[in-house]
Amino acid sequence: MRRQTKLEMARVEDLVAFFTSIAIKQNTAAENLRNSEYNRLYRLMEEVEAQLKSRDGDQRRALLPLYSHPNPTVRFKAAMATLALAPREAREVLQLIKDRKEFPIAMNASQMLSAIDEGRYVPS
Amino acid sequence: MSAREDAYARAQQTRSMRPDAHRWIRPDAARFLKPGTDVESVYPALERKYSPNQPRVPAGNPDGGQWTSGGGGSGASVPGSTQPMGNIDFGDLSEIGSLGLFEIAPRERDNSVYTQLAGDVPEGDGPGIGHNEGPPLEPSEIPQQRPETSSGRMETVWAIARWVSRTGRYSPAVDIFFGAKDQIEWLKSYDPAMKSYSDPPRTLDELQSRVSPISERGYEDHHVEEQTLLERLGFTRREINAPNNKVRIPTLKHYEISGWYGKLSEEFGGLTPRDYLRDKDAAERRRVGLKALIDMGVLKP
Repeated sequence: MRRQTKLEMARVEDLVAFFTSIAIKQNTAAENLRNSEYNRLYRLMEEVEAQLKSRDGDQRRALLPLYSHPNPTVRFKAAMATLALAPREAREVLQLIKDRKEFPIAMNASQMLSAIDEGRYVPS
Repeated sequence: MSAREDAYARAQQTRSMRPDAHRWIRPDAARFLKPGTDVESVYPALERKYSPNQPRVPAGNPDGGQWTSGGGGSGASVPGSTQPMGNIDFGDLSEIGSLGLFEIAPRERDNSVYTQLAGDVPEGDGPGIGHNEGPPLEPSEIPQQRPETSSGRMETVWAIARWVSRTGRYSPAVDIFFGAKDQIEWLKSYDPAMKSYSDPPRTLDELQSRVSPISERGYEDHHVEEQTLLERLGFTRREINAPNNKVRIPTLKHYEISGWYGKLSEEFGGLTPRDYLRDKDAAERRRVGLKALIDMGVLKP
């Protein structure tokens, strides 16, 4: 079965679990500068996020509980995916990652905060 | 290093990782700290002392009855285990490495804590924003034997450097750690890089004035407008190495920023910064290059 079909058939809670596991893998890849692995996971994450967004009522909101996940990349990706749904709270998550110096993803968090403030990034 | 020294070093390090590490901390530890310092913040092991109020994993759970941090959505942590650097084990994730084998339904592990479908931002008594365990308070365990591969060695180096950066280069906990770590021969050559990672941000003038033909351990010369990109765009060596395009920065920061140029990013519409900058002018290339230095904590905003 094609991956796209599998994603379409998945339950929301399974997509959230998959989202989480991808982000954890991304965190490890980023920590060890394995860019090709990080980028492959990035594209996969885009598909999962698009699938959640396409569900009735925009089920990206099911990612909100991940704001308190111990893994910084899970928190970062959850915040990015829900910026349009919970802008203030998602921003707080990014700010905390930056303030705690949770590198390397802290660099992305810092950049996204600037991009949002300067209007270079508009969440949708 | 003799077998005896090696054993001593190992004991020094491993005991600070134990759940009962507080036993090796003097009860009058506060005497050695600046007045008013929170002792537990310097010696995190003290916080792990037995407390009858510490929550346990509920009965019926595979880890039922064991102590847990109770600190948020991370679930139970196993006593005695060192927290890995920012990771949590969700069991077999091999499906990610082989997309054709992707199985959607999770196995065994209960992810329900992360899959509440209420759709509300956590609030009240439940885990809230930032109410997770936060970054680990102690570095991950250091292999006594030199890892055979470069990536294996760097994994340890990165973990220590990032922990030192979060904890504070001059904190007593870091001093103690470096004292014990000094007895691990294979790691000594990485000391300058691990320590410089925590340098405070400096002005552009300071970073540029440090550039020199003479190498400096723990530091590398870095191009504000990325070297690889300029090479691909056909710039000459003289243009690439122009004095205003070079700064000397901590080695590991240099590696991280160089790696960042090749990572896909939401900020650049799903492109890598390098691909995004391919058709941009010098002003935008420099803006992105300087911003990367600021966001990595190298350059003062």
